[in-house]
Amino acid sequence: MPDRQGYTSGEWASSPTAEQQQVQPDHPSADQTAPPVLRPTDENQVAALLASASADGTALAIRGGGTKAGWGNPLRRLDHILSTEELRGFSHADADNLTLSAAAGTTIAEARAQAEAMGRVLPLDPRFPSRATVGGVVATADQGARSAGYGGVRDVVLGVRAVLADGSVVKFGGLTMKNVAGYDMTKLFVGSFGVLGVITEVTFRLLPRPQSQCLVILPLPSYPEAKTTIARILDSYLQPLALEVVSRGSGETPYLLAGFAGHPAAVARSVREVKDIHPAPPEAILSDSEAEALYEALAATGPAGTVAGTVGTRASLPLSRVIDLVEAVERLAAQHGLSLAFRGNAARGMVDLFLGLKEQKASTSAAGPSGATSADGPSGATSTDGPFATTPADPAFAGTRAAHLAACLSALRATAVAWGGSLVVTQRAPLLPPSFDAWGDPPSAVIIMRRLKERFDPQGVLNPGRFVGGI
Amino acid sequence: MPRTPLRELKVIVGNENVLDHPVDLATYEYDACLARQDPLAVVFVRSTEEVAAVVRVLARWGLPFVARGCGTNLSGGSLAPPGGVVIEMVHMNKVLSLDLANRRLVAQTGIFNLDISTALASYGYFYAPDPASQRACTLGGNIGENAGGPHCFRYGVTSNHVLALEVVLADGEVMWLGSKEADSPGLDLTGVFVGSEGTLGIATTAVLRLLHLPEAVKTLLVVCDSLEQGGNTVSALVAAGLAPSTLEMIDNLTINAIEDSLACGFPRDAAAVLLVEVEGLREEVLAVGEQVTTLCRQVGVREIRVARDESERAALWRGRKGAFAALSRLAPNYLVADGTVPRTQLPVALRKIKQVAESHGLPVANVFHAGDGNLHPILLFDSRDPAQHERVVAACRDILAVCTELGGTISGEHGIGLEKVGAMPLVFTESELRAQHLVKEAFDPGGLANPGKLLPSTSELAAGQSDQSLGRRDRAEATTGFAQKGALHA
Repeated sequence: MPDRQGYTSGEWASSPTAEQQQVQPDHPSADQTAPPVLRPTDENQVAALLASASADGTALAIRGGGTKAGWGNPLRRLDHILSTEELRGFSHADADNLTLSAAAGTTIAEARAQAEAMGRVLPLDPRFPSRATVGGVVATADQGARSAGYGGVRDVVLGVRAVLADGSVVKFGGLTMKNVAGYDMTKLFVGSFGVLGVITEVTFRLLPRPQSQCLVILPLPSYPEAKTTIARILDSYLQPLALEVVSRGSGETPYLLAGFAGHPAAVARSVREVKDIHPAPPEAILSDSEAEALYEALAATGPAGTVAGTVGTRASLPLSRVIDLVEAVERLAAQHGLSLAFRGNAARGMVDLFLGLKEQKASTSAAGPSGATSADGPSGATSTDGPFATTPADPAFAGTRAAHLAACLSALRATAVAWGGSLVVTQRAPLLPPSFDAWGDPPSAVIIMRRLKERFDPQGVLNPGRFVGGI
Repeated sequence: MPRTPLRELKVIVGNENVLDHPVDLATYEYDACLARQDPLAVVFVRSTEEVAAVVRVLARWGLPFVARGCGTNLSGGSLAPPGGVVIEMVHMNKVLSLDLANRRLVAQTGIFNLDISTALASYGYFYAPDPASQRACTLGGNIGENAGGPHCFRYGVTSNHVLALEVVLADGEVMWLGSKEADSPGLDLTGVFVGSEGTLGIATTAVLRLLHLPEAVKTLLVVCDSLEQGGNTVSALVAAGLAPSTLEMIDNLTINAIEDSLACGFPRDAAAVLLVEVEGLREEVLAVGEQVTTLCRQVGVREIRVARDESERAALWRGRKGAFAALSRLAPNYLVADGTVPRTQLPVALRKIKQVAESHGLPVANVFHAGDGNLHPILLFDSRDPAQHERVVAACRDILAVCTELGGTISGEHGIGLEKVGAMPLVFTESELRAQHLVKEAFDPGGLANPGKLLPSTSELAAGQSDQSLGRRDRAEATTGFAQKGALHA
């Protein structure tokens, strides 16, 4: 069996430990000086901070682990960072009811370990689980490869506690699977990017721990074959936990990862059937802990925070367009001389793309090219090897390359939109022109979103400008 | 000729599509809850454009409205607001597009729930939410209530399967919320709209997520010696991490009512039965089916029967889905409470509900989604007897209080509507109710979309009222409605 590193250590994939080595996140802000960080240790302190921020119009950036600091637009204004990292622990854990309530600053890794200790599984698979927090993952609705089986974040959150901009504490949803009392306010907070309130605690529904799991790694010599295999798996009785097309870099063809979990007989049958469907034999079949390790490594792919020279984007597409987008992006990247890594979730219609500047390998300054320093992390953080470390040294040259990057992203966005989808910036490199909106043209329903923002945060103090349509 | 709202509506949809005669309106003065309210008029619509035009007229005249499907609502949510207009959606029942490669179906919201899955069956796909009333209830109503059904134990509720909605807001503006894709930029307005009981606007078109039909299904009937044993079995199955697709409980009173009317093969002498269904790959169904059987034996159930073929299975489901109708043999009226509790609390909840019913001297039947912890105690009574009516309302309030005390809530799938609007302070603080009003205002600043449902009014909040009577305003409001109607017709 090949070393599983073979599936994660391509040109663009980070090593499993690289997550900790990434450049520390800078909050996206127009402000060049590091704003002070507020670290409330309980919900009452959050309430007091928000009430006073609303009273004097202090603009707050809401942050958990900072792994998605580059997601969305730079803040219009920023006075303080409100970190939820000190809100930790579990107020409720009921293995028999399959529910777990975690404070917002608890990391995903900690919440997973708690679920594991309960004999359950936390059905979340976001990027950078060792640093990403419960609150951050829910506020960004970040879900990864295993969403094919787990569903979206909105499908696994049963309730939230949050502090609104005026300092009032609210709790919606709860410990029951079904709840239609009042509006489904929980949905409003999932994926709201901190613009309506600060999530302080989340209740999740847990899953039973599967008796076994398996990952089949299939070579994809050509895209038509990839499309056929994916379509046949999706149209079968199989219920994949993950179905992901993953790039390997260095001109190699990508591979398809098909994951299954459940009763051993059902998993074995799924593996057999996938082998029958795909024309080429699997490169590897990973089970249990090896499969888990590959999922973890995939979640650590790409940079965290704001890194020079790399733009991360997430495209949402019809399922049948996932491979089409991958083809399109490979062509565009070659055309514009950009390096590329991608992960395409073929069961959810979601492609994560990392595009960056090739060559010009140079050492980066500790502060990064924007001059912004890490807000609270150790300064002098160094970047890793590989394309994330690439910094354009010559401004004129950099300008040209940045223009290529922006042109490539615009073309990709136009393609995604033409197919009925979208493309958002999940990793904003400083070289991306400020005019490049992270979300694209807002939908017509942005009218309602703005009205909600105006009512929930009339002073505009929560993450101002970060979200769709300048919300 | 003077302009009146009714004349304007008739210009839009034609005379034949506006009902305003009291005899015609009588058909629309009730839904499946106890309250009644006659509408000012009923308007049949056939397109989003017609809905928008109708709503614009109503907005101009300041008339409130409610969209209605087939009136199966159990909490009064589909009753007209006093002096308001019913917009009848049943003619908007078309499937607009089917995209199997992308697992999407686009349909108008007046379509019957069952018609969606029937249309899909030959392709090997289905739409998961399957409320018991699925033969008669519409997609739009399901969206309004965030409907569940027996299979949501495995597959989730309506909001897990609706990706996007075309909506007409109360000012007549038309927009799409969400997208066909699983993730779309912006706030999850689709998620908020689903379950909003018509108070945020009217959904006219919906994009639904489709699922592949399972390869195999196994249906078990677990016969229990007591209701408590049934509750214990459910808690044990959930705790063991077994994930059947359905886990329904039916008690003795209901079993006999079903057998009297439908003869589906339920054992009449059982204290309770559990209808358990396991779905998935053949291998999974075989393994999980055995694990369920083993665990039920350990709990000590009386008997486990397996449906031998599709006709036995269909008979059991016919009984389960016909249960509410069958219960109407036993008394002139019933009131279904719809509380939920954490699954670990089911045995306690069942015991306490029995005590509540006994203390009010009312017979209670139980047929419910046990796997979800969603109880449906059905209180049987005769509404012609005012004393019984009072007792049933009091008993329902006590049952909801039991559910909230056990960590649950006051509605799992039937909605707040009119019936439970007074009980909202049982589960929400004033701040939480105010936050929900902000949502209402953002969608419907004029307050014309199904007012009076779901949320206690802001004036009630301001007055600090926590009136926990179950919002029974039927007769008083009907009178008001007539008065207003008279004025408008003049």
